[in-house]
Amino acid sequence: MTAVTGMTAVTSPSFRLRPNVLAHPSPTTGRFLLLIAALLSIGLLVGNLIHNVVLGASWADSARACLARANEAVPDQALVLNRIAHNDVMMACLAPADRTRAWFNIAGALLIAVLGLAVLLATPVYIRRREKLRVAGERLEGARERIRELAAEVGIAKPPKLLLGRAGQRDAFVFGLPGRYYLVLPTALVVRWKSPAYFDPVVRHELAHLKRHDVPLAWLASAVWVAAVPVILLPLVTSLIRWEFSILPPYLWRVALFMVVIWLIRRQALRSREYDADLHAARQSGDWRPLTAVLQMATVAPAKASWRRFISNHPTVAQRVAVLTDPGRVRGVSVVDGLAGGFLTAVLLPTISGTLGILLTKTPVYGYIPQIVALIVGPIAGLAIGVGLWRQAMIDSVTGQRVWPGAAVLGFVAGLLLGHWSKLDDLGLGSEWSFSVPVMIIMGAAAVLLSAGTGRLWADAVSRLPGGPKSWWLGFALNALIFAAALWLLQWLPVLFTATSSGGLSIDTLLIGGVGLVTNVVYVPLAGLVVAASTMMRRQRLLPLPKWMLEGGPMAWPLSAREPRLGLVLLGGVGAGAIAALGTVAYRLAVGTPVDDADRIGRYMLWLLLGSGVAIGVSFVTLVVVPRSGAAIGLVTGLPAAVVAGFGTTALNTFAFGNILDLGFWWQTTSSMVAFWFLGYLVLLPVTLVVWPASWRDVPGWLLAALSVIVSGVVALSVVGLAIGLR
Amino acid sequence: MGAVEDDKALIAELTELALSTAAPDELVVFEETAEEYFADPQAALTAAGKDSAVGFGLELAMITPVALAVGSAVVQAILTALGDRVYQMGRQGVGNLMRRLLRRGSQPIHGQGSEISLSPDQARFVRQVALDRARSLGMPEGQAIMLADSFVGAIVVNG
Repeated sequence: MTAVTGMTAVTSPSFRLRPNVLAHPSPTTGRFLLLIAALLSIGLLVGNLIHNVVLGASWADSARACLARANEAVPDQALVLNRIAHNDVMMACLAPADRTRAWFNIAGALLIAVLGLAVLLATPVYIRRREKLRVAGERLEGARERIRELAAEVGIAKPPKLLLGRAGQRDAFVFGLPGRYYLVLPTALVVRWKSPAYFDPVVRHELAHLKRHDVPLAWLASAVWVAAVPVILLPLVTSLIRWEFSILPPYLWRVALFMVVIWLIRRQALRSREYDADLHAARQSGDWRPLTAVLQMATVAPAKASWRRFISNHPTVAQRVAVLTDPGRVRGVSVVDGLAGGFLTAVLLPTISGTLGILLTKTPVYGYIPQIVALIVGPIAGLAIGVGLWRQAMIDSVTGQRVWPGAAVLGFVAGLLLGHWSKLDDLGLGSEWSFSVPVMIIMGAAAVLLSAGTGRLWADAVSRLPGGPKSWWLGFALNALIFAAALWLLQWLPVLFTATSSGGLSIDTLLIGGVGLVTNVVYVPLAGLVVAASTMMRRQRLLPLPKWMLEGGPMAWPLSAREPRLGLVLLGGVGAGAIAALGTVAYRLAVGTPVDDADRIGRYMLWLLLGSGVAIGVSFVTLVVVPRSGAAIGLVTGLPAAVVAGFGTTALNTFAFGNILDLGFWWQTTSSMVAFWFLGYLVLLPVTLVVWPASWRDVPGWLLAALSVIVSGVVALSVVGLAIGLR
Repeated sequence: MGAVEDDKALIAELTELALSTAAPDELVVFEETAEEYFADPQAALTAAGKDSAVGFGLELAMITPVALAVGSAVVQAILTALGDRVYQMGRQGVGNLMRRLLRRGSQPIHGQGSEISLSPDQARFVRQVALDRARSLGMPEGQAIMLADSFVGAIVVNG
């Protein structure tokens, strides 16, 4: 950077901007919520096991009676429809017994929740007794007054009460319940309250924990973990009473492993919160150096053994100082963060789904269970992973880094698989092979990459975001939707594939009618497109980085892309869709009118293939040409292409060839194309990992539009040519 | 006051004087810290509350408990240094004798004139004992030296 002073060009020292990483919420909040929910879900499993011991025989009698009744009602089960009717009778008959089972499950979760709450309420009293804490005497009124002043600066209306520990108390910490927090300081620090260089940074750090709501999250997670232990041991007691131990070995090792993993995840989340508390304290004081000095002078020496560092509540001093010195080092989602998020998500999904499945049997909402579960778990997973990726994108827009999301993808997918393979929901009694594993890999990676890509595009418009720092709510909403959709597909697609592979659903039926079962997803890319398009509009005008995104420093410009422009991107997509529609016309002109129903079905499938294939083609081009935000811009090219292809094809079919005007058919065709395109796009998304590190930022809109048209032409020609050739 | 209580009071008095140089900030809580130390010396010297959740990760120890432990050793060292005079004085008189050795600045605390004092060699011996004890309790070298010097500084030394 140079400046001209008089006649001399002066080179100013290079410096790295300090991003305000606290402008966006910490993804660890989502991780804590996932952790607490996963612990509660273990209660569902325990409830089920207790039910099996207590009422298992009665349930089996009911099942036998219901089977007899179903056999009587539908004696011939050769036809598929009869088998469905038989199953309906069976389920309706067994529903009351299943509901009882579901209430046992729910009671297990409630028991953990109630015990957890009790532990949480008792914890402050327990800590005060265990640590022999006492209220600081009158002689330390000066320290209390200073804490009140610092709390007021942070914006805490009711300052925490100062407590002193034993003479050997060496660390500072906060605990308590909302509205009644306690700050414990080592006496050696309290008596030096007149030395702000020592006293203030430590108190500010602890106040930051309060301000960022770390105390209720951390202690609630601990309390629920503690409460889960006795509940987990309940099946042991019931097995002893009944003298039936067959279920214990597969149960005990799984829950033991689960509890250890949960404990490690909690520790890891706590370590992440420490960085935020340090940065919050430094931001409050306006200088990060005093806190750095205290860390270097008076903190715990780093543990020699790496495993001790792994289980520690705090990062090492070197790590903390590195982040304070350069906040750009904070990682949105590391491989371990992804692993934790994926594992907890995979544990949570089947346990909630299983309980809802038996609770809602033969009710109108039974068919919506995958959606309900996805809407419960998706937003939490979005908060734990997606919000972290968006935070990373905002940091990168200041530092100019291009942090590769491959680690987050790897971690999340590995976590999903580990959670799935732990088989906590069925204790390994379920089927060995299913389509779940490949679907899990594809959907897990797609959710992370779609989130990372939209985050990058969002960060390109950092200077003009609606609501400034408060705009993260929109990011949360979109991430909740992305992860909910991925989790829904993750549950639903294996069912569809299993039905097809087992002969219950033909390929034709799957492609023509079955896809209707996944057309719900069309609204997800639509929401993504709206956010992406509005962001592309906003990023066009380059403005300096907003103050809320920086920790002081001079005025600076964001290192973000402004191209490609929205108009040309949309034009490319619409053009591609039009080419696909014209491709169907070309086919019709080449082969004439359909001769029978089989021909009509074949042509309909050609439409779907052509429309979705062209849309996938233009999205693929976008992923390859536009690094990082390509995953989001691929929605803006692909969705219009699929929509124009769908409506264009049906409109031409109606108006050019005289077929009937049926808007329902138009919508079904278009939504099917969109669904196929979106599923294909999700599969292709990992391509963005390859081009992510590319150095170029701005891709001219005309280039992307031209490439979109060329690729769509090639795809249309190939598909139509192949179809004509195969007739 | 029993003999044990008198010993504790003597140690506390000597340590308080040493702390007025080594860690004057801690004098504000000296009374309760000494009480805690004499109730259970080992507990007072052991680190508590390490690596707390939502904590800071501090390792900030008070000097007072270590100083009291050093003070106990220093009192024993002085008694050894004084040798025969201690036997002549008897149990009751030792406390008074020891108190006459204490000083703040250049002035003895109890009584005018310093009819009793340690020789430079005896003072060196007391300092070495204090230093060894502080080191054995894990005190950083610089702090240990300062504490040992503070104890010697709290005792009347001849010449």
